[in-house]
Amino acid sequence: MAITRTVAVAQGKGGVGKTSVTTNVAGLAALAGLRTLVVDCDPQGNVARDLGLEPGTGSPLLSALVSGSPLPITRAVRAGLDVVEGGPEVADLSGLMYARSARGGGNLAQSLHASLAAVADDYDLILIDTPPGEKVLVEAALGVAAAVLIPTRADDASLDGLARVAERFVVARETNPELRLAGVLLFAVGARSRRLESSVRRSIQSIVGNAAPIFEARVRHLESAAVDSRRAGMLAHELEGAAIEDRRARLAALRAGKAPADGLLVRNAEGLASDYEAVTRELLTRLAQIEEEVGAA
Amino acid sequence: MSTARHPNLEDAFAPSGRGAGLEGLLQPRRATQTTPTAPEPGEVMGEPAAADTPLERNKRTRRAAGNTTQASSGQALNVAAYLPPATLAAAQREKQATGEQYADLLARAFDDVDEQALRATFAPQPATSSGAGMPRRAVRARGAAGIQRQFRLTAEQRDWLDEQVRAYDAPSRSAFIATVLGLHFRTLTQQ
Ligand SMILES: Nc1ncnc2c1ncn2[C@@H]1O[C@H](COP(=O)(O)OP(=O)(O)OP(=O)(O)O)[C@@H](O)[C@H]1O
Ligand SMILES: [Mg+2]
Repeated sequence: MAITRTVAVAQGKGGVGKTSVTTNVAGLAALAGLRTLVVDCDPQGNVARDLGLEPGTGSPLLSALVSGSPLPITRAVRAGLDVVEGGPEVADLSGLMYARSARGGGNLAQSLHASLAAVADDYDLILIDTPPGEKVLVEAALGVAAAVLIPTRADDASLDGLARVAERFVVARETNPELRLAGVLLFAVGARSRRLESSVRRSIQSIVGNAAPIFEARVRHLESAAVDSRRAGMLAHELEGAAIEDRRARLAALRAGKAPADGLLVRNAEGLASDYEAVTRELLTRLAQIEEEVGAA
Repeated sequence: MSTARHPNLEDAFAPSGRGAGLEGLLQPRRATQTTPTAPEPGEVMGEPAAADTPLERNKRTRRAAGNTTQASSGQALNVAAYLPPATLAAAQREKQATGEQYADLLARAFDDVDEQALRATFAPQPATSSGAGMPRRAVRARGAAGIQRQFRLTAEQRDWLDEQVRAYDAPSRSAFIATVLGLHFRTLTQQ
């Protein structure tokens, strides 16, 4: 039942980097020449914000899934990157689909599967961003994905969230036996706190055991970049270039004795961009590995 | 004029060639995917017909050929360019209106721009000396702050681009692309 090359990014806890990881990995994969699609299954619709798009209502996705019409794909938001936008109305899916399957109709996972299967051949990689709650939406995403990537922050509440994904993972495996755990990814950890990081890695290991690798790569804590990113609709590697230009403009203004214009908050996004690049490398490598395993099974 | 005297600003404009090192980790999807609910042929949403450029076709043929392990010379490469907002907006409008890829738009813009104007943009401005101080180094247009866009080019197209960058003594591919599009859309002064 799994749609190959499809990765759900899920975590029971909010604010652990699901959307940031989804959009940044998608942007880098597209840069690497993979035809990439992001599907935003979150009523918050933050994918659009991260990519610099006007936030949508979610209504086109809602009606596509309810009526089985083609997915509303916004094409080429970056070269090689397409998006299906979420938004508030996506929240209504739970209720609508519940009523429908109660009447003997298909469930949300089946609708999503049919919609994605129709376009899957056009993409080398499909990433699904999921909401923190909304059980039905998360289960639908896990019901069609080939792999799930679980970002987590270092705090205990986030680690508890791992347990919630694990439960949903087990449920999803019943209808989607091909689903694999891509791995757990540490998000927003202090760049210099190596000791904290290894302690968190040990905690995660004790929670997931050997079921999933903990990604070697992690995303460093860099709040200024996070704020700029959503404000300007730029991904980390785009901020990287913009920050260099911003610094130049600032210096030029100072030299000319003028007050520098309000620019970016981040001075240097290079480290964060490298982190996302390392995450993307690890994810792509892991997906190739999963494909081999599943293909051989 | 040799390019060797000038620092290569490629890195500043397109830092580190992000993504380049990620190529080949995951092979392009094989064209025939077997899913239980494979769609009827008519249901598949293809690329819009207008986007069916030679570049796109070439890419699809390559993928359909399924030769996966090696990068062939016909492979599409990403070349990053930073476009100032006004130029980017104009390019996006044009892309929307024509259904063209950025690479085709660039080719058309290049055919259209005045060679003299292009040459003038990259010519050094006279060095300025302020009073008794050391004369400032000559400065040239280097492109401006902007939003990154990827241009998917074939190896041949990229080589051609590099030739133009050298011929016009542009400081980088990014600056060259931004200038050509800026002249084409007459947005250069709005930077
Ligand atoms: N590198 C970073 N360092 C610190 N904070 C970050 C970083 N990247 C993003 N953030 C911030 O973390 C918060 C959560 O990020 P994000 O939206 O990606 O998480 P999420 O799991 O998708 O959240 P939600 O569950 O609400 O959908 C945001 O406020 C964002 O600005
Ligand atoms: Mg989110």
